[in-house]
Amino acid sequence: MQPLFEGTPDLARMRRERHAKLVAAMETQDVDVLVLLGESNVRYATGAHAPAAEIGRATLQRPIAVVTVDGWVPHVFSAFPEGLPPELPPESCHGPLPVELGGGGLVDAIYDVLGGRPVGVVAFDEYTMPLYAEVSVSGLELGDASAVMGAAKLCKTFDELACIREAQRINDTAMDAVRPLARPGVRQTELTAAFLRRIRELCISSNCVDPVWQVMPARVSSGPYSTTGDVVFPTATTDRILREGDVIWTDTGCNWNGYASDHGRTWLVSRDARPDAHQVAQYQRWRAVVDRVLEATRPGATGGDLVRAACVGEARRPWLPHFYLVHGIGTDPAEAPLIGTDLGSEFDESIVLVPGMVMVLEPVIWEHGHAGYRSEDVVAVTETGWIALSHDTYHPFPDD
Amino acid sequence: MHQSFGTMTLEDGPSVAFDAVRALRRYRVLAEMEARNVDVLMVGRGGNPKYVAGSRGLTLLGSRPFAPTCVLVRHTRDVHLLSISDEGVPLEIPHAHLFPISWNPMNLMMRLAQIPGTTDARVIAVDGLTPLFETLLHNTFPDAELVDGDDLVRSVRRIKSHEEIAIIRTACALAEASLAGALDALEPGVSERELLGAFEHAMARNGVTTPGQEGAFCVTTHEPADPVSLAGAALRHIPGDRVVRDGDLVALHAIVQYGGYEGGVGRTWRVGSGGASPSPAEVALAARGRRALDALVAECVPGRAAVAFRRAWEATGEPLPALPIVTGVGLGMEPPIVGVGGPGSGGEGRWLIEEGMVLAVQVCVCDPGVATWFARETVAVSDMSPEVLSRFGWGPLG
Repeated sequence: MQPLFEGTPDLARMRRERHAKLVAAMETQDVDVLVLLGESNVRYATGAHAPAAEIGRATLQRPIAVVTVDGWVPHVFSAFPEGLPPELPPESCHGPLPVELGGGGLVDAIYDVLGGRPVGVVAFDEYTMPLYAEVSVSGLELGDASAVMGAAKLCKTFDELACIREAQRINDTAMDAVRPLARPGVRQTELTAAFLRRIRELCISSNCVDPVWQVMPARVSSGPYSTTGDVVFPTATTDRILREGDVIWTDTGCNWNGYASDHGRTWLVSRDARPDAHQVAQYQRWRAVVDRVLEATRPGATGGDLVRAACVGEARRPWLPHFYLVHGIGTDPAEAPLIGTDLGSEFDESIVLVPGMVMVLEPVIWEHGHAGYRSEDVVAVTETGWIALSHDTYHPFPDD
Repeated sequence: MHQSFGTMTLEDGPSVAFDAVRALRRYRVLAEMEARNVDVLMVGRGGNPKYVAGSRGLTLLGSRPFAPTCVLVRHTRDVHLLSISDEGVPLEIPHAHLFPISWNPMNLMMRLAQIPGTTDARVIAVDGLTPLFETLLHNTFPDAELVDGDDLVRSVRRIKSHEEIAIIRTACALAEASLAGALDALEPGVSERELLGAFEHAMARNGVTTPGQEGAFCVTTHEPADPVSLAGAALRHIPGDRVVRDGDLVALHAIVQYGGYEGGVGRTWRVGSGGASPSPAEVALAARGRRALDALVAECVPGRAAVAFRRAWEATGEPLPALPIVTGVGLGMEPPIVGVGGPGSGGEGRWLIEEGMVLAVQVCVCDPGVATWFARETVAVSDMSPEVLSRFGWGPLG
């Protein structure tokens, strides 16, 4: 199926439409002010970017957003003016707010940009302890921002889909360049080196996750200890030397203009990679699961429908039990809809597919004694069914 | 202890005794829990879980909200960790103390309540909250008071042991090696993003895949159209598509994590092919920067409040730049933060500089219409003179 999202997204229009959706969700949920600390939430609400950094640095340097239900331009506290969208007026741009450091004045700084103490519900997405100490004695009527964010983020606009597609295209292209390097004698970290360099050459905004090139054991008991008894994935990359015949599961993700990609494939380490009969059969089972899920994918279908479709003919649920059959993707690398998690079947039934939802399908076929097959495909739900946002080959497995 | 700056484990042992580092860290956290009368510590943000548990998990870039992923019980002295496997989990944490990840907060709460010592805790310290976890923790542990665990762990993290400083020294060597990789690519026609790619390529080729931050690798030579602030020099930290030209000045900030600890070095390099010399204005700018850097390094001595760095900066006559001039260094970036991003001079007065702290000192000066000059060193505070852990040349501007 051909993608419908060719061309360059209009980033200013995207930010406008997201803000409007957020304000609509605030109205519906009776929230008057959103105070956002989460990096992906701030990015969604305002378009403000910070440099990609390890979590401690990212936390200390993070931009903070204040959004009001009157629909006025949001306020941003940030140390990175180069990461602010050009349409944000100077009166909405403020220096960084040290929410991690204490010493008082945090709530007052929020009042200042609002022109006084707000009336109504003020919803936070998270608290640092210094902020919590101030907020809990402020007398403000407090709310939870997560439901507002979730409602706005669930369905993507045209421009958001175009961003995800571009992030995915760069990720896929970079992995095409790395795959031939997965040969005996190469270290996992060398694959990381090649990937990180290639995504920059392809003009990615940032990398999201330490790339995974996990060598899979033939059986769970030969791998690391598992608290669930199921196969362990993902594990962090080391300088492990790849050997002939290693089965590796890859998992990489990067970010283009605030939107994440997700790329997972099964590779075989060899100068002449040819899957054996078991491996081909695993791959075909994986394809069959994906095909059944996509067959059921249309507006109105539930998460439960997808779970049932995936499980037809399978002795056990064909995905990792500590993860999911499906996760969403957007400004977060994993966001709603989450289908097939330990939230249970009732939760799955409550998820109704609507156009604009993005789904990363990640079934896993595991065969005791013969390792397994895992890949990830990304699709968007459309008016009539779905379209693919990822297009990478399954090499060395047959593509058709 | 080996004095190697390599990362190999040799037949006589690893170059750093990480097991001893973890044991000491945990001992110190438990002592602080005792001092603050905290029964249970639940952490999940930044370097805190790494400090308490020392596990090597999958690194994700960016901030994430609090979740109680690592639990330390004072009475049993046991660490309990959210992990589906023992891969990357230190040997001293037994399998029975691992609990699997969950998308269902009720399952997570059930597992927390099963940890011996949590349900009868009177004081639980957390290093952050979300509205959801605030409610769930109060409901699951109704008799416990929730207190600030972030301040608790940060107060312990502040002072580094000799072993931790040895790790940071190795992290600096890795950052320098990665910066050398970026310099090899620094020639007219390369884009800022490609420089970042060359930096990370060199980093991963050295066996480490965890940058402290992507960037900065930014051209700082001023274009006539560039907004120039006289209030203080600013550096773009987010690399873009700008292409380096012959004669440009380029700011380079390499930050790499080894064992979770940050090493970093920053320089401003002049792109020169054909032996063209820097202009007198560029040389003068670099000299101003070096004087400011020397002034900050000289303040890395015990016994003063962190605000001394601000005063030392003011004495140089340079306007305060639009970035912190000092940050703490440890398991990633840490307080204190002096300058932009920090609590201001009042807050800086509360932080005492002590022996065993490691600091990043950063300088950014500007000559409007010429360029911006940036440098960063990583410095250990000792009872002797400041020990500059980072080492790198100054290039054509030196």
